[in-house]
Amino acid sequence: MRLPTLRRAVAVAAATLLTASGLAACGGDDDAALPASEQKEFVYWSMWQESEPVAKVIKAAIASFEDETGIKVDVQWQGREVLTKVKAALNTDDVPDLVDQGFPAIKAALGLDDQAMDLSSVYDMDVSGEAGRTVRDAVPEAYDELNTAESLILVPYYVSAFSIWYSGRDYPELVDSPPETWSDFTALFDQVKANGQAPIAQDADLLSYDSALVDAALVRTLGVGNLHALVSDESAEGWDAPEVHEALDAIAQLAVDDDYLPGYDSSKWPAMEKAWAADKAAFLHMGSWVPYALGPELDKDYDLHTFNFPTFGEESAVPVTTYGYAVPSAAEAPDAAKKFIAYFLGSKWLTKLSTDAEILTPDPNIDVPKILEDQQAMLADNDLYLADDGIVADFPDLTTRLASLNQGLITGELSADEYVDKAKEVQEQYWKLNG
Amino acid sequence: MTTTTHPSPQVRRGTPAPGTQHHGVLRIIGTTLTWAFASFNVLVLLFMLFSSFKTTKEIFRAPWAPPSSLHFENWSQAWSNGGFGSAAVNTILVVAASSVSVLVIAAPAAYALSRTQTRLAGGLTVFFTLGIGIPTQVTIIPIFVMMAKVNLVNNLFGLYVVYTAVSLPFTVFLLTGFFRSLPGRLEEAAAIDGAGVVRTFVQIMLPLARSGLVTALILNIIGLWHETLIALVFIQDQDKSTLSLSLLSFMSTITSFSDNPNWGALFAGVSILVLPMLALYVWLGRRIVEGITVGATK
Amino acid sequence: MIREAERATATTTAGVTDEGAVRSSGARSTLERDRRRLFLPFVLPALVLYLVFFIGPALAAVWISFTRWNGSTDAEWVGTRNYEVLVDDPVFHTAFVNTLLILVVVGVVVFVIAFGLTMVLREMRGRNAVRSILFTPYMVSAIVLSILWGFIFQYDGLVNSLLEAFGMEPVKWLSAGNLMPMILLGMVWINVGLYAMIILAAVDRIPNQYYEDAALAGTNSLQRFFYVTLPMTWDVVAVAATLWTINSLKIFEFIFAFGGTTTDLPSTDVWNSALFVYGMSFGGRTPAYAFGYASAAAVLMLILFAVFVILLRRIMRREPIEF
Repeated sequence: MRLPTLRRAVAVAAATLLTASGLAACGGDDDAALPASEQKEFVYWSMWQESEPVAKVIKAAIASFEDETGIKVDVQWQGREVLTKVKAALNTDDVPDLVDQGFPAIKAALGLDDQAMDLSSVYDMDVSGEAGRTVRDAVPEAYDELNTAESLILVPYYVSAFSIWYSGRDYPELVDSPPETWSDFTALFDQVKANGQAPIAQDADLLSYDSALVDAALVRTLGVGNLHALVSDESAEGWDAPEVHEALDAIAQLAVDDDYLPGYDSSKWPAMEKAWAADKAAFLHMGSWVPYALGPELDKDYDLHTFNFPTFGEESAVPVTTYGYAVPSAAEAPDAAKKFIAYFLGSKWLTKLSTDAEILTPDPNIDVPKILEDQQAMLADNDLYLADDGIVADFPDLTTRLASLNQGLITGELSADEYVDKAKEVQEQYWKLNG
Repeated sequence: MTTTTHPSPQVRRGTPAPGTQHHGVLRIIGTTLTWAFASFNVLVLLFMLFSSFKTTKEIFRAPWAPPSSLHFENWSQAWSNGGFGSAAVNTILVVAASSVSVLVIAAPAAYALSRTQTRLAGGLTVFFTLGIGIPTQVTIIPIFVMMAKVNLVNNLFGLYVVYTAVSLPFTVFLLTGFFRSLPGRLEEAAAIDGAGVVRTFVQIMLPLARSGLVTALILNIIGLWHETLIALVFIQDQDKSTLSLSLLSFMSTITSFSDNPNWGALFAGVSILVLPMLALYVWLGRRIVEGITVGATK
Repeated sequence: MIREAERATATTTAGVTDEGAVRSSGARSTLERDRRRLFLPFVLPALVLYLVFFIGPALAAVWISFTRWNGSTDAEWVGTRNYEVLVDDPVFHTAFVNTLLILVVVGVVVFVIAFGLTMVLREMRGRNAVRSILFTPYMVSAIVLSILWGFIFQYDGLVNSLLEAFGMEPVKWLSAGNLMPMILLGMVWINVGLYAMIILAAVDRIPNQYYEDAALAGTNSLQRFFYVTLPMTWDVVAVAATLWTINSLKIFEFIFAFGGTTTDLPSTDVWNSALFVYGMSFGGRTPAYAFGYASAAAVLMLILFAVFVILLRRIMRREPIEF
């Protein structure tokens, strides 16, 4: 015991000098993969905790995958912070063969310099036991752009879309004819206020929710892809466009008109969404997790429904975040991992995800629980775009700064003009560093 | 035992309080405020415990009410879903080993630094002190890379080594102040008796410094017990997880698109982490007070 | 042996003159020589560990601060660009100001309250219990403390319910404009316990006869504070102030928890330098992984605080008072 410890201590000391003298040389070995036939085992770091409903489905799939293929899966249920571990591990030769998380997070952690493998070949793979079904049948092409960094790096099994949630009991007329334009939407607010409710519940202290709202409006007026283009521009002049003002004014006006549940700007999450669930506000702009996160708190006859974010003209695409599998380039057993991805995209497992875990899968042919029907139809009927127009995945530190401005706009601390001035400032700053 | 080392507090309590006669009103206000402050802290602990027995709905609709019925399943859910069982064993082992090891390494260094009046010793003291201010976020990847080279990542022994190292600057800082406060005459007396420096240190100074060592021990235990970033980066297998790491992943599933997030279980999980520290504190708390007394008086 | 040693301390600390002091000058020089000889062996293990786990990685961080590095692929040398951008970065300015606010405002308030508590607690009944209770927030996770802070101060929280019960308008305590002061208040609450305990312990060691003499001389309690308590605890205050200075640089969790969850960051308006470093490296739902920039910020803040600590030691240094 004593000797190895001492030797280790010496080795540690030596390694420090190496570290200090050059980290660049420490990257993982790209040619690490074993021949496909020798990949009898792979390591999977999961974003889920073992007891979660999604994890239970994955666990069942792993057991039956091991039986059918003889490939052993070493799964570690790491939880949501999984990519922090992956990021550190990428500096060594020991990386997992399979990881899952949301696309923006995967892209930020693995999407640069080809640290994640191109998975387009997986889309062509057959799903075992299902004649004629390939992975492509489970994930329509509409999703490809939402999963592409330098190449197609993600195979999603779960999709989440932001939309506006409300009670079909309180507002039955909206079930068949939801408001399509922003003015249709805001025109409802008088009726809502007459009902003794606040129109909108928004936990303004949660910056990602603030950004979801402001970015949704911006994409509506600018069109898909143009918010990303605007932010990518080093001159930051795009913020002066009239479309930007239209969207920012619309959001700023909500605070001016007292359309939020009182206290939205001075409470702590999840106070406002809980108040919405208690029927104090009519509308909640939120992702696909509402049915299982807040559903149990709703009245029995609440009749949960949702509609797409209103348009300002034509644009009606749905902001989507995909969650799914990626394979690090330094993986030792990538082929085994890819085999599992193809296996898990079988309709059996996607159906289980939908029924047991109540999440939306990318496969439009999978039956969903009633509470998710609105969203599935919304995804099928509209174009899709990467949530926040992809700026979160590509410019995470810039969007963190913009998010604080989004909060200011929503809480009424910033006018649209002030917002534009500050947005230009942080964007110029960002490009000075990264240009 | 302690009453012999400090001027006895009992004596003081009997004498008239300085200032009492002139500022009776101020004193009453001060006493009231102090009690209010203390009660508030008790309220915090009660709030945590009450919430751990409530349903999510109860927590948000009546945060201040005691639980209407005791939902013990919050605790069992936190314990089993968070995987706290094996994590508790790992944490106790690593934290105990590190917090003791750091004392073994820091105490001689602190003693030497406190007893040497050279520029080098003064400079080294400041040098060690600054280590407290180096943020882990920027050094963790270099440390990880270094430990990976010697195969000490994803390894409880490696975590123990890192924990021992990161506790070092604070411990040296605290103990240096502590040893400085011990009278030098004792060592001189020991030197006359022919005792060498090592024997003087081990047989006379260490026992005298005991309450300071206990203080450092407890503050390090509290710090390491709650440490998450290093554990998050270094530990990759679930069966090597620590309690705070388990709590972190349990909490992040509750607060990020979870199915029916159970906030009661979140509070139960936090209580599982906090209660052992409270127990330790109640058990050894008196020693912290004494330890800091002497330790801080350089 | 131990008991004897303790009794010996008791007599020396009580101020009894030391008859061995003169006789022992020969032994003293042997002691000095021994000490010098053993200085290195005593300090070396700690020094090696410190060099390996702090100075090595810190030097690596300094090197990283001159690069653009995402934490896993090759670093790209950018010279001083990170620093040039940093000094113009409004978010870093905010973080810098907030860090100083925490250092100075929270520090002063904590120390004033701590001294106030020493005056109150000296004669209070149940003082030991109260003392222990004051320390408890230090042990409870910042996440819980901030959830609780929310329940107390949010719009329909405890304070506003009380205000309404008295017929007053609710106040937006946690609005963007008020958030930083509320966070500072929370930090005072969390930290008072530790520093009050340190200072209290020091005040406890002041022999009561000084207070009695001062009282006989006709001083009021404020004068006694400045002429007895403060000078007698000065060394402790100096140590505690150093500890606070360095600890305040790293305060992180309580602010972070105001992002609402365990993943989202709070508004950049309330960032301090520790959050800045975290926000530019691992923090957030989609982390920035801008390790070069984050390291530059850390290096800059550390240099600044090193200067503070050295200044603080200079300012507060004086001959220790023996009593």
